[in-house]
Amino acid sequence: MRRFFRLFKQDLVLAFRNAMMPVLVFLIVMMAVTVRFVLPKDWQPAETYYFVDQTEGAPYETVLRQSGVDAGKFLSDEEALRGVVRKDRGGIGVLFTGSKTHPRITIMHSDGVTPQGVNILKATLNAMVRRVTGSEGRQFSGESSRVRFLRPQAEPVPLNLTALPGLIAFEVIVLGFMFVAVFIFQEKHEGTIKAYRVSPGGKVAYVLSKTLAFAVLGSVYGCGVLASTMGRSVNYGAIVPLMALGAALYTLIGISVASFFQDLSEWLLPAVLLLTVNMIPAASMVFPTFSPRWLSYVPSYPAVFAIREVLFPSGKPILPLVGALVAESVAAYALCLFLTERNLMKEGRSWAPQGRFR
Amino acid sequence: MIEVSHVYHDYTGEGRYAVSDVSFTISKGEVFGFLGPSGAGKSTVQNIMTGLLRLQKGDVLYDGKSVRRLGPDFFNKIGVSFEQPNVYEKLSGFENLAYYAGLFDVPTQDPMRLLDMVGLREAAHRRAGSYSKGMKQRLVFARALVNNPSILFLDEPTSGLDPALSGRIKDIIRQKQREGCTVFLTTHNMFVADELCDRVAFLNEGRIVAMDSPRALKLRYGERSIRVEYREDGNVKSRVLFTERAEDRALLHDLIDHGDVLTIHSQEATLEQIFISLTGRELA
Repeated sequence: MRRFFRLFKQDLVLAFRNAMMPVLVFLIVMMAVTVRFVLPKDWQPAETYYFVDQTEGAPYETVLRQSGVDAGKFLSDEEALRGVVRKDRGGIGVLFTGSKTHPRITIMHSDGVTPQGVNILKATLNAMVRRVTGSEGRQFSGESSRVRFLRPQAEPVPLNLTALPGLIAFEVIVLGFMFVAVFIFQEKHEGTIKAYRVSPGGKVAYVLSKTLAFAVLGSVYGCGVLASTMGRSVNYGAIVPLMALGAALYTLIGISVASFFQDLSEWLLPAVLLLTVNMIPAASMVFPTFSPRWLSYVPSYPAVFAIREVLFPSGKPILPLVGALVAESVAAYALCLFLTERNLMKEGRSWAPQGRFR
Repeated sequence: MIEVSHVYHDYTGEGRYAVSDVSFTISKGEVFGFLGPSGAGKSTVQNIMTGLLRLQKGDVLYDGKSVRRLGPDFFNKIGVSFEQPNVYEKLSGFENLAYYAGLFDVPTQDPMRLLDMVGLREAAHRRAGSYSKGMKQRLVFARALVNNPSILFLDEPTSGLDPALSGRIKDIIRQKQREGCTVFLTTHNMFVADELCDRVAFLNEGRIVAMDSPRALKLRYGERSIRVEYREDGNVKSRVLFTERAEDRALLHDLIDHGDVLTIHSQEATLEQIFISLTGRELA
């Protein structure tokens, strides 16, 4: 244990002297300023609808007025409608022509409206037409469809905090993955790993000391970000072990990957590719409709969604995620020990040209 | 006792051996020198002996136990000083030694005492990154002593040191030998080997070409020579003449007959001269 703690202490000292702390403090400040002062808590897209009803008796205008549409949104003719849509870039114009029973509806807009948006608008207008023409028995009140909630409804997440779980998970992951690689390349460059090999230190202490160091640093960093953005509203007792586990997992993966390369320049491209893949679950969290089945096999998936569940509980079971994270960490530890022994603790058996070690 | 028997090593896997059929034994308390030019395979042999390189063929035995089966306890008994000064540059000299001492399961030396021994006390709390190459070399040497090793592997321990500091390091090596420490000294510096080693082995292109005590090697392979200072055209000149060569003997007689000789000193061959005569290569 004395050896392990000596290594752990040394890794922390080196982290401080590698200017890691100023970088982390800077990132915490940037996150806090962005979340608290730059991003709004709520935001609605500035879409404004304008209407012209040129059908006989203007029945559609009547229905819309009854639905509470502001009187100022009704214009007198098509020319005026075109003018206002041209002027208001976020505006959408709806022109009713033809007869009451067979209306022709023209939708006008300046900037791009997504096909999904146009389809929703079409469906809404069709429902209104059916109501006006009496072709649908139900009232135009949205009761034609019902929403059934599978779980108790979660509190809406403020917009400025929406990306926070993904960012926390990803930054803690990056911290372990990248900084441990920097450590290993520094040790290779300085040759200190060679001196370590002829000590009784061994691979277990080497791997675990670095893993613990980055688990601690990752947790401290994550707590710093959470304290400065969400304050006391966080369950720190649950989130700290999750962040530590996430950082530990990616430190183990980071050591394993770095063991194959000689320096940062060789490592950079594969590392960026790996990190990009591991970012995808965070993207899925922000855009929930993107959730292909394979996403759950990405190693960062349990960490990202477990952290989200702790920060913004939605009633989803968290234990399977934590279990998956623990299982991943155990597997990564076994792989890391194997690769450390094979690539770092012995010479002449690395990817690198053998002659370099002489 | 250390027994190295029929060791081969091939980095390429294509049958091109960097080290080929190397065998020798080192007795306890002996200083054994491994001499050869760069690329001769000296570091490869040392790396195999310390377990840094996987043993491919042959065997290395420590008191009868193969290096293949040595556990962490082996590393508690050895000290290794590398040719390249490999220290944590962001840690001070003291921190480097204190950290390294913490890795061992045996009583260790006081880092400050070691730094004092190698003349680094004043720089103890400076970051090693600011040290000169010679200072780093001494720090690496001190690190090799931190666990009171009974076997020392020293790779060019005096490289880059001025004569005074080099003498200090040599004194420490002699002291360790007096304490019963076995020393495996890898160098291409013939003077260091001549001064320190009980026996030396010449390594050339991965093979041992000669092995004995420096004295015995000189007697066996060295040509007797004399250094003559003489006057020629008003200038004082100096030449080494080998008495076993007919043309040198004739020249010496000629100088004596004409009364131009100022001084004559007999001298024995150096290890470097012997190495050159055996291999046709220089050590440096």
